[in-house]
Amino acid sequence: MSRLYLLPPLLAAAMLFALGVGRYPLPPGEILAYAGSALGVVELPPERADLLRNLIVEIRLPRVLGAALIGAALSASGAAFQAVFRNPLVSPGILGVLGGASFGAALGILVSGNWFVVQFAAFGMGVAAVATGVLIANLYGAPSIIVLVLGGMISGAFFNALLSIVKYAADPADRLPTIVYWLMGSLGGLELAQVAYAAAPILAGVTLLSLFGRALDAMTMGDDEAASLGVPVHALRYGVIGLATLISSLSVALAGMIGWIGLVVPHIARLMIGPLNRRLIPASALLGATFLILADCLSRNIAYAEAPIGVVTELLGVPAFVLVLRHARRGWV
Amino acid sequence: MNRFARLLLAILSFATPCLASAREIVDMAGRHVAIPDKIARVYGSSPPATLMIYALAPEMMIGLNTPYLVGEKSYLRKEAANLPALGSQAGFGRTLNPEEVMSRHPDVVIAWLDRFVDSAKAESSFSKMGLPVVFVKLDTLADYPATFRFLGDLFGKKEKAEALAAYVEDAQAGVKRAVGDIPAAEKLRVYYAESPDGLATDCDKSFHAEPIVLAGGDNVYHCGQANHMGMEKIALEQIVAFRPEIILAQDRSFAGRVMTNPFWRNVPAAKDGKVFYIPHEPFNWLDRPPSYMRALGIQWLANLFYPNRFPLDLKAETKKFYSFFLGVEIDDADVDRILGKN
Repeated sequence: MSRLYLLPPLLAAAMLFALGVGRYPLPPGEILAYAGSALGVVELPPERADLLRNLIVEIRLPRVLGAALIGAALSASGAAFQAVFRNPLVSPGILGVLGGASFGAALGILVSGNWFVVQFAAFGMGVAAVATGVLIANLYGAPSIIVLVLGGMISGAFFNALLSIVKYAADPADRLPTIVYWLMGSLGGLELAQVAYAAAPILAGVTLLSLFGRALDAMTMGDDEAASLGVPVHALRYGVIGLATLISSLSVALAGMIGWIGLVVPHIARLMIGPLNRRLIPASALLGATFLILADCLSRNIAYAEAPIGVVTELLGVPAFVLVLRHARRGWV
Repeated sequence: MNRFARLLLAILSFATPCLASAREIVDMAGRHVAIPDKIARVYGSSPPATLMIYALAPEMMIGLNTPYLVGEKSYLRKEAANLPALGSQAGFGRTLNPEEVMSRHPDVVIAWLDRFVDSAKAESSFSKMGLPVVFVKLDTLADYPATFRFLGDLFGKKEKAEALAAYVEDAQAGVKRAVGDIPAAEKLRVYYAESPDGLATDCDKSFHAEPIVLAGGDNVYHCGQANHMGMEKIALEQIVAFRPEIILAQDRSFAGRVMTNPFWRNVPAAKDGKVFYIPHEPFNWLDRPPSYMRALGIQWLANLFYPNRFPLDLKAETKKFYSFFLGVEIDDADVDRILGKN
């Protein structure tokens, strides 16, 4: 249990670090001075204070908070999905949420350049894709887990086809590159207000998933055993799927496709604190937040041009996954 | 005369009509290409190539690469506005359907000799369709006069081509005379904003951003072009650090919003209201796709950057250019609309 308590300070340290680094050179003294002036201890020339406020609070802070929320949402929902499907290779996209959200965002970019429309469409279509998958799985009576996965695959493929149609129709000079880059993921366009809107549902979702951890632990023994312990198996399964879908499609709506984190982080967390979901889900959320903050630091600092965050998480996630795979097998087999 | 020679003569006499209807030219990639003697139908395999045909010989076009938007159509020649979209051979967007192109029987394909695209692949895919490919250079505005003359020769339109080539040369020379000697330290700092959030741009050495440099501006994003598409993501913080004095925006809604967007308040251009929408209709003046529209674009920019050094009656020049290159007559209200002023 003790290792779980190491994670919040780690997250706080990552946030402070991320606020301090960026392409605009700001020495640590300046940041301290700004912190001082915000607290009313230090007096800064108004122009300097405004620039620091602009850089630290308005430009860096939304990215850092956004990265924390998105990392937490994807990792917690990854851990929850892995528990529901009893499979360590499951990631939040298993039920087609990514295909749906991508289609929604691309459609939004095609018909309007407004980011609110894009985000709303991404969120809506992500949820719609999962609903379609579950609906398909339920066509012929109560579905087994494998049929659920198949339903998700079908729905995901369908929405990917729709995405291709949108790409085909998009103007290749302008809209199409925007869609392509959106699909690689970026935290660059985040604003504090957007982060604030998304924060409440994401935090509530992550908390609820963590609270369901104990029941999910019971379910790992099998549906019948869990039912005999008083766990409402079907309700829990769909509840978790619904929550995880909600928060992962919110995260996609905020920043596009950020792959691998939802698959890899739960494994690293499992390595640190063991396989019990009641600890694993909160640990995954904290670790995922830290991981994505640091990945975003990397993506915005390596060069003039930002590396797409989705690419960075994949490049970091793949070797991490290889490293934990050996240990991860022990937890599952 | 022996039997063999007689046979040879017989073959030649049969083949002569065929030979007479074909000629061999050397294209701008230095390749020898056999093309029909009389060219009447031409396919441009990417937007920059298609735009050349549009200016020079619109009646020879068999199609467009991408469909035009309704707003753009009013500034297009009627015969071109309703052509079908056949797709592009290179770059993004609709890929071409070989049978669709073949069914329209072009005599020749004009392709952009672009260093980011594999020209051998383009050549082989068209040779499978039985179509000769002629490569032309379109990388920089300085390539355009020679390319106009080359295509004028090919299409039998020397006079028109010479006039268009001369316009591009004069425009470039005039701008260079006016702004070419500005010391690097005094150049206006320009940020080229792309995508709806304005957080994508292109390197100063990229062909996408060439007009900024030609017009004497200092594109603040100093680097070399990495790929054909460009549009690299950039952080707002980096733009603040670059301190651009002017923003050129590809996206109209971004151009409208950025001056009042509080997050951009420490970017000098946004604070001072120096954000300009890049005209798009019917073709982009600067980029996406790059074209001879840049001959007008650099005059607009040079005048925008340094009005004292390069005075210009933009309305008159725009009307003249549209009539000359695009074959459409526009009035003052149209110019205002194209410039995004209403």
